[in-house]
Amino acid sequence: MRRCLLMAITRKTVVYLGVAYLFIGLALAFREPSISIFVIPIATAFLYSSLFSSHAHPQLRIKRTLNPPRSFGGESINVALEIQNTSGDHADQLYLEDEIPESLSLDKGTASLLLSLHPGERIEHRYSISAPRRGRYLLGPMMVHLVDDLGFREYSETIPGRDQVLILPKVENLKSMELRARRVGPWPGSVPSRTVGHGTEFFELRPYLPGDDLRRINWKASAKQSRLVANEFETERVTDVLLVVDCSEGALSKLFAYDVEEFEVSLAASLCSQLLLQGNRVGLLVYGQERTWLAPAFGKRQLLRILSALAIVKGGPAMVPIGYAVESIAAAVLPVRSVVVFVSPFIGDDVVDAVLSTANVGYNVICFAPTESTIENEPESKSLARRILATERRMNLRQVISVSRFLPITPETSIPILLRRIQPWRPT
Amino acid sequence: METNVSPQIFRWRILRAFSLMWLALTLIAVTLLLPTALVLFALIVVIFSGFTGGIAVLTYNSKLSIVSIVTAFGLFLDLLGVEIASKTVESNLPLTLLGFVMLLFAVESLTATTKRPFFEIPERGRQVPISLIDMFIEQSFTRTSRVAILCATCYLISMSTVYLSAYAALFQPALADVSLYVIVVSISLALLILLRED
Repeated sequence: MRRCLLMAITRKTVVYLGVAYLFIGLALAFREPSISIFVIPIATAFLYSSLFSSHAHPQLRIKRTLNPPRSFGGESINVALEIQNTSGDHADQLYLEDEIPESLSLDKGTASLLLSLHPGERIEHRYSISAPRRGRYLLGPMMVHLVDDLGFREYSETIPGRDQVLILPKVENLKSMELRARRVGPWPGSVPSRTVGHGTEFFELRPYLPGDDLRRINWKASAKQSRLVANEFETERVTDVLLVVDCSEGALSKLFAYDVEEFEVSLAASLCSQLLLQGNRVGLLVYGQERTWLAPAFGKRQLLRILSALAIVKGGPAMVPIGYAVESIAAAVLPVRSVVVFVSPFIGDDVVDAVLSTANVGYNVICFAPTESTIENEPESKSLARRILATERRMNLRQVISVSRFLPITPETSIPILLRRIQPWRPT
Repeated sequence: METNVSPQIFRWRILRAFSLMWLALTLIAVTLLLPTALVLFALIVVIFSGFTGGIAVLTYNSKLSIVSIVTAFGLFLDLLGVEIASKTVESNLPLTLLGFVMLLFAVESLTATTKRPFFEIPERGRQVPISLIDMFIEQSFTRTSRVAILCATCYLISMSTVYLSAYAALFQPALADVSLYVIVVSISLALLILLRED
């Protein structure tokens, strides 16, 4: 972005000129040359403004620092502005205004200030902002306005430089989430692997062998069988998970009394956080106005990548069918028999087809579906439309339930309690 | 961070009170120059202009300040009209010019004090660093004093022009009317300088 300097004559100048010409007019009309003397103060003021106001090109260096640059919303972000006059001239009556998006609220301090800077002088100004909603916000550019002493001329300059504030979706601590996957990775994790080894879950009994740890002896079973019997445990490994968040047009349906998009994003963020915390490889596919996907990966960096992607999710009509998107991405990045988690309201045939085809390929599918809510005092015409949509959705859900682990959910539902319902499930 | 802004607010109030007092002084000065027949009318104008000016300063209402300034300028034009009618412009020029220059300064000081400063914006104002408030008030005082000096200089220059042209006219009578053209040229020149590309 280039610097843009604009100079303009103010309305005051025009009024003063008008007054000056009024006096000249009166002098000419009434043949009174003395009246024209009244023009001299105005002309002198103009000359003073032209000759002694020398801040036409204020050279300012502005550095904006955000702390922290990412936030989970609700907390204050401190903005530190470092302003330096790099020119050799004294910059007087500088009015600076840092452009803040309307959706951000100013918590402390002010984003506009009036300054006077000596050559080379540097000042630091601080203010705090907060955002009520997730998203990507841009701060800046800095607008600089200068008015000369008498307010005859004003300069506006845009100093380029925008900084990004990322408000991440809030993450709920889910405490535990036990997945059952038919395919597990080689690394230890929390997903039961149906193989004997080191783990915490009991798997089977076998005769005690010399060299076995004495703590593994099952004394009750040994007493019954009159020989030493040892416990075998099930190894827990990690798995690969692809989380599909459906924010397409259907997700924005009026079928729900709450903001489904926000709810889905928040749920997806919490699920990803928990799955990554358990050591799984997690990928993301966001299906909405803008399609975003992240290949499965481990760790905190992946969580940050996922949260950053979820922060900018925008619901709306998508260009490609969701089935095609899921199939092509899953085939490229996710081994068969891994877990695919759908977070969708399941409105429309596309998403149902996507679930069916994903399950048919051999993935373990888990579906989280926001539950529709009743709206009171609704007009008859709208109510009918809602009922038709709800019936259509119920038909979709029947198909989804037949091939996946289905979990209906509302903003009031406790996710940790809901997740316990996954535990008894073992894929066939 | 220091939070007591009372001294700064006090200084700012002094400046506001000064601008209001200057407006009142200007209105009274112009009224005193008017003939006694127009005093009642002038008093009504003075009260109206003073009242709107006062409200403008107290409530940071720039529209009311414009009303006050326009009313005061109307009073000045009345004075000029009376002088033109009675052919006394030249004889009363020093005082009328003083009234005009005072009016110019009143306009400038009123303009500066009827714009709500950033530190008096509700909710945000108290959280502005004191150094910035100090800087703003310092600038306002400097600017007001600079404008005051400029207005005084304007008056001196104008009066010098009057006396010099009268003195020159003694030797060259044709110069008596030259001042008009000189001023027109000076305005054009000023305008040219003003419009120059920086």
